[in-house]
Amino acid sequence: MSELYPTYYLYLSAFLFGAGIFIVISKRNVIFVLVGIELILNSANLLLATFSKADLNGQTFAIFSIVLTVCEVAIALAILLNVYKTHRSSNLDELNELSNE
Amino acid sequence: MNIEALILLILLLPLIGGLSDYLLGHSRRFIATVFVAISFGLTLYLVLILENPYLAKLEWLPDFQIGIHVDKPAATLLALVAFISLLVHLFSHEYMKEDPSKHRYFAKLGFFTFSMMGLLIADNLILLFIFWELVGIASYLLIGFWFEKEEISSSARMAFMVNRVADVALFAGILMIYRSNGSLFISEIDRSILFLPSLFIAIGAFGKSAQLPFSGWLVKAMVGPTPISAFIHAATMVAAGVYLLFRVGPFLDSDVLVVIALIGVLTALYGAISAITQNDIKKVLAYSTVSQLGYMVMGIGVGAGEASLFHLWTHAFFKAGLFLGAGVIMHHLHQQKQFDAQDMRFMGGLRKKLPWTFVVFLVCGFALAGIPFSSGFMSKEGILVAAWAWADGFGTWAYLIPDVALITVLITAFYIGRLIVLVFLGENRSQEISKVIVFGENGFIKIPLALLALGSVWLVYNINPLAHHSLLDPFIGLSAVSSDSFISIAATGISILLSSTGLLLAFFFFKPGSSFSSRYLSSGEPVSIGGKLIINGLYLTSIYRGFGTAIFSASKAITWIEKQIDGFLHFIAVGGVVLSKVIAIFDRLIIDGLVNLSAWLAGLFGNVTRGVHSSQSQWQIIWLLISFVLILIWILFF
Amino acid sequence: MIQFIQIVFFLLTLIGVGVIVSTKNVIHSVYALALVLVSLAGIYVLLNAELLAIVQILLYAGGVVILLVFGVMMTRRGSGETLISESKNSILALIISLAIFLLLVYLFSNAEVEAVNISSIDQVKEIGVSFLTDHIVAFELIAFVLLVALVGAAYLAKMSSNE
Repeated sequence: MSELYPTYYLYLSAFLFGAGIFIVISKRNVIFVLVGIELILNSANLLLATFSKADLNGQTFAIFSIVLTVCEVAIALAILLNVYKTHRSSNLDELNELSNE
Repeated sequence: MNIEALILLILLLPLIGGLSDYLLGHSRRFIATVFVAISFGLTLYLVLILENPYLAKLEWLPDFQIGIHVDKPAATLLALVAFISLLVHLFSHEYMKEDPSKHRYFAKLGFFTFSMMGLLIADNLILLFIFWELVGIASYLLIGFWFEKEEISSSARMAFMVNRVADVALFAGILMIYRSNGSLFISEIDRSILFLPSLFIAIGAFGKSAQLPFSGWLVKAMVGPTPISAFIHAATMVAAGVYLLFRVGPFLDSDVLVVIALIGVLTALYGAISAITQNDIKKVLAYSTVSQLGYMVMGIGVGAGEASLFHLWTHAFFKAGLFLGAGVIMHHLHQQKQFDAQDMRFMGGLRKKLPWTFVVFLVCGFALAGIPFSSGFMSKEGILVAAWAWADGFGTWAYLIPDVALITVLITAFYIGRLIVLVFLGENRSQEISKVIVFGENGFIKIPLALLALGSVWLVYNINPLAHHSLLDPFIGLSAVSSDSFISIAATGISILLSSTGLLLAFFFFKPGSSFSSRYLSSGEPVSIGGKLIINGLYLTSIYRGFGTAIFSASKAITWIEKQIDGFLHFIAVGGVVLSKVIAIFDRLIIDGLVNLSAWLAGLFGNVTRGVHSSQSQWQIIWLLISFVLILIWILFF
Repeated sequence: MIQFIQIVFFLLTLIGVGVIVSTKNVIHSVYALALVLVSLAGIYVLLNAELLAIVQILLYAGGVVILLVFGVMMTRRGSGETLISESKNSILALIISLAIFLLLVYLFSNAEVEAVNISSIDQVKEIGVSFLTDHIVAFELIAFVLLVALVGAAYLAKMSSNE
């Protein structure tokens, strides 16, 4: 393999981060926000992987991060299902009270 | 009995008698008279047994004492007052027998007698002042006895008020004496009084004794019942001023004494001149009283206080006799009821109708004129001689005083002669309508008149008709003055000459049938300015009225000024209120506004920053990121 | 020298992100996410992180995407209705995200990254060994967390389906 130009990965990571932020802020559906969160986490993973160099700590932590992300998404979705049951909507604007009664 | 009880009885018996007469109605008519008679008897007893002057003091307020001082002159005068009061009581029984308010009359008489006696024995100046005022009140009550008539009540008010004005000066003098002497007791004054207090006391005495310029009230006071005029204005009240001057005379400032003599002699002249023109009997006698009082005051001024006291005594007798006689005349003529019973131009020939009165009038009139063989001659001589002697020692200009006094003798004789001629001699000039005589000369009338005439004759006093000492000397303290000096002979001679001339002139001018008298009787009011001035007594009463009006107008002016000041103050107050309202508005708008503004800003800021904790979770994330970006920028670039 | 394969993966990533950002359809965004994840795995391979790439595909592209699809399916109003979501605050979000992007770019421009060496070590074995030696605590904790998340999610999901 020839030398890769590593800085582009960083820029990609920054881009992913920015996009993720954009989606989290501006989208109204909960699933959309979860997608955005995934993008952010992935940008962090990419960063970790880019800087892992000789030792493999970067990768290790990236693996940890992925595992935790999976847990988080599972729980988030479970909560979403519960919230959807009471509010009948997955629109973030309408999900601003704990109980709809 | 001891002296205190004696004195108390003397004083209180007339008062009690009068009050009981008032309360019990006049059914028991003689209670007042009897009590006064008893009081008179007691005064005689007092005079006889009094050896040394009696002093008594009483502490009526803490640290303040009042006291009485009874010596021979005071006791003598007490007897005089009691005697005259008794005679007036007797006379009044007949004179007032038709009057429905008799009981009130006798009550007031008793009150007056009590006040006058108290004045005579007072030693403390404050006590004297109290009795002075009581006498003033009693005289007001008595002068205004027939108060239903407006003119009478206003004359009584004028008498009282003029006296009050003079009493202000008297009180000021008393206070100044207290200040300089430390004590208010006449018997304790040990050095001569300064000029100003002396002057004030003199002015106070002038008021009571109707000297110039206070003479107006006495003439006006003739509207009272004639026995009252006899009592008050002949014998007692007007003598109170002379008595006061007599008491403090030795201590008065010498300049003030000169002033007193001057005022006295001028008053004598004024009274005499006014008397010769009057048509009203009582007015003639009133001006005559003013004139004789002037003599007495002049006597004090030249240092002959005892002579003045003697003249006071004799004047009491003959003037009271004249007044009571005039009362008889008036009552007799009132039955005619068609003209003013006091106008002499309508009288005449009364010697036939009222013989007793005629004799009494003659005797008392001669005493007034100062004819020898009368008591008046003796007392007037004493004063004239003393005045002459005093002027001798003073200087040429001082001769003015005895000279004017002698001129007044002439005029005095003239006016009394005129009165006697017009009233008694000749034929009756009035038309008689009815011959019913209701008031005649009965016992009640005759006895007082007789006693008074008796008191005007020389025999009572001294064998020598020409002397001017008397039995009374030891009682009034007259010291022996040589009566052989040139002065006394000259004065005596000149005065005899003048008085006889006056009487003859009067007879000559006014005898019935003379051309002058017929011209006089048909003339009306005087037309010349001089005539008008004289007959109206120099318009003194009008001057008094003018004073009152001026003071009233001044007070109205001051009230108006007060109103303006009130308006100004009101304006200031309103201005203050307006200013406070403006400040309130300022306070509300600006200061409160500032506070409100700051609160609003805080609210605004709070509202703005509250947005961070929005209910929408994405906004929270936005805020988080914004602050993250800002911190990052700050870290990177600053 | 930039290799062709890099560009491909980069482009795939960019396209995927672009789709996510611009679409309104939720399910389309989930599909685009799957694409991004897979392309990221390819980039991991290029970065000599083989295990990471495999784990990414297994867990992310396999697990998370499936979960998201299930979520989309369960939160629809009716059957057959596409879940449309509109965006708000786009301008503000654009500004902020642009700001962050630029800041990060600026940060990264000063970084020094070494070139990647393709090593020949057995990464799977090494990482496995390091799990159980250097990072044993984290490993156990991760297992624990997984268990808890599993139980919790199951419980929550069960609750929501019990009506």
